[in-house]
Amino acid sequence: MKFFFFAAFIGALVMGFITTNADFLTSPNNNNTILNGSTDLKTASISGKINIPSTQVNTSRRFRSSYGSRTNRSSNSNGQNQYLSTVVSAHPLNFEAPDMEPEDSILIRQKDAEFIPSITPVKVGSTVYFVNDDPFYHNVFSLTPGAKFNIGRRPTGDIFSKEIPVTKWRVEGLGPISIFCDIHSQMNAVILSLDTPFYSKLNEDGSFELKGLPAGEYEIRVYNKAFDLLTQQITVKTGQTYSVEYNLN
Amino acid sequence: MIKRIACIILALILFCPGTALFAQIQFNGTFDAGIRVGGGQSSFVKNGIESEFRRLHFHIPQVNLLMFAPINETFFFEARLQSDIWGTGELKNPYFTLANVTWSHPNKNYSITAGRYINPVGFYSRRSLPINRTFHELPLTYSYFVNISDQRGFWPLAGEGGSYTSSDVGLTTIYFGGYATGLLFDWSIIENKSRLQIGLTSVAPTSGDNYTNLANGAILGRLTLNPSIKWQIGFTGSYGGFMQQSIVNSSFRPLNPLEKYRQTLAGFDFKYGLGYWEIIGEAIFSHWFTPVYGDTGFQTEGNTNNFVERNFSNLGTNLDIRFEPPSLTGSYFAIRLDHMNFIGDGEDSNSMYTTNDWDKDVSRITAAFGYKLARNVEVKISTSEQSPYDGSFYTLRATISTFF
Repeated sequence: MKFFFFAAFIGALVMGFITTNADFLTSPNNNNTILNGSTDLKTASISGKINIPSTQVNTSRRFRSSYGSRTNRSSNSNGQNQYLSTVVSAHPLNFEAPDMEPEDSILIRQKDAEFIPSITPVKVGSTVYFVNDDPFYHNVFSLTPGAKFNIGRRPTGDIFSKEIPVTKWRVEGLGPISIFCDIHSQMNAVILSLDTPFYSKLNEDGSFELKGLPAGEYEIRVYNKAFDLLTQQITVKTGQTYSVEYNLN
Repeated sequence: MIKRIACIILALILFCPGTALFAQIQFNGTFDAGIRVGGGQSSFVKNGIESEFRRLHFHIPQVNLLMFAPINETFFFEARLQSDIWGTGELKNPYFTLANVTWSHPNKNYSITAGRYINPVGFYSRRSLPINRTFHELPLTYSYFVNISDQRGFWPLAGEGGSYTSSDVGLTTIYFGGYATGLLFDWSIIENKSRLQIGLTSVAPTSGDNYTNLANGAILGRLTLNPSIKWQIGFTGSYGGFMQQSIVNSSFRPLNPLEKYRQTLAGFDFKYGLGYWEIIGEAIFSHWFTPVYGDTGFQTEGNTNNFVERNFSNLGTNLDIRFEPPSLTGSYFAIRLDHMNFIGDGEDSNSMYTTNDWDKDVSRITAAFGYKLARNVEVKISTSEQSPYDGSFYTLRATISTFF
């Protein structure tokens, strides 16, 4: 009988690892950009669609398991529409990105033991505000190199009608900054710090539109933390609308 | 050989393709590795380090496979397959420490669990995964083996010369593994404010055994209150038999039903959190009604085979203080003050008691430092010293803990 347990133990660990990582072994298959028509005469726009393969989705219920948040996957990363967790951005290659004034009104909520939204694109240098909307403690911390922080345990945002100042944190680093709650291990989200003002989250059907792009060369990046970063180069001219379609793998 | 092969194939069929065949089955795991060293008097029942392994050495304290499987919208199954070094210092074959099925209706605020579940008694029972712990060791209430055996009752040798691997050793006041077997009713009275858990088992929470060969019974309970976001308060208690039939006691059973020997527990705990600070305190009182076992066997009264029976009590208290310096993200410093008080040194002039105390009070101080290398990867260093504070029971442990 002990061989049964031993084999099960090792086998499940090994096979679980292989299954988890199998998605990354497939090759990309993306369409080229297509010139489509005209728009604002001073700028260009890019619209299109990102295709994301359907992934395994957990049960819609969150049970109270013995190991609490550790073995209760967050719907942030598994149950939610993957399109809503995807950001498309256009990064100028042959000119300086305009309008990089940092933003100061970006809110990330902690509600029902989830970060809302699960991904927040911001311009580098922006200030993000964290609000605990649950009746129990949350914290927010990041171990991303160059963007480490820990705001400690934070109470509910409003107690006895007395407003508690929300915690704010200035985003300094570039790229995806993973944030977690140390009290509820399943809670995780991403702040995507960008060096461009041209970005958009996908709509529920995977469509998007980037407007007001000056003419020039761009690198289009499609970020979803469950997939490899997708990058494509594109040259746009003023007064044109470009339609693109990419596949995430 | 055929049996072995059959077992391996069956295990692979049941566990390995599970992720593919049943999309909702979730596997997680933990793994720890590290080094440790202990004082010259180290023993598993005293300071958690086996005498044979008290010198500096590398070890793998624990490997766990966790499975969580929703059956439908109201039932789920979960299990923990564990391999550890408890008592032996060497990694043992994996065994199930938790396996249960739970009914939990989405529109009800209570659930019912059958099987082996996390013991509701005590604050630390629910911190059984190494990565969830601030310190390596549990408080004395959960880790110090008192002079009461589940086969012999009060037995002065149990906590002194007992070897955990012989299965004939003293008991910890609450089972260090943190599990109990039976039924559990879990009622969230007011969401996020008050929760009541009541368990029915066949043995008191001092025992880690899955079953008993006696008609024992025990009831366990815990009431958790959250009067404010900063405070969590717990009241915990249990009452039940703690003895098992064995070759040592079987011939005495007709006149001395072992089921009547009981452990009664009552406890209080709190957790206070504010900013970068967390303070946890717990006090557990245990009363034992037990037979007495001496050098010549069970102590009996008169010319009969009736056991001498005694009442003993002990009180375990601890206070943990943890600070997470914001300037060193991912790190923490913590200190634990721990004390076990044995109430009364015996009840009469029987030579048994004049030469053998119930037990000697124990105190321990532990300091720990932890640092997260990644979200689920943590390095932890802890050191402890305990009475008589002469270095004979000191410990130093360093591990890397992972959850995946």
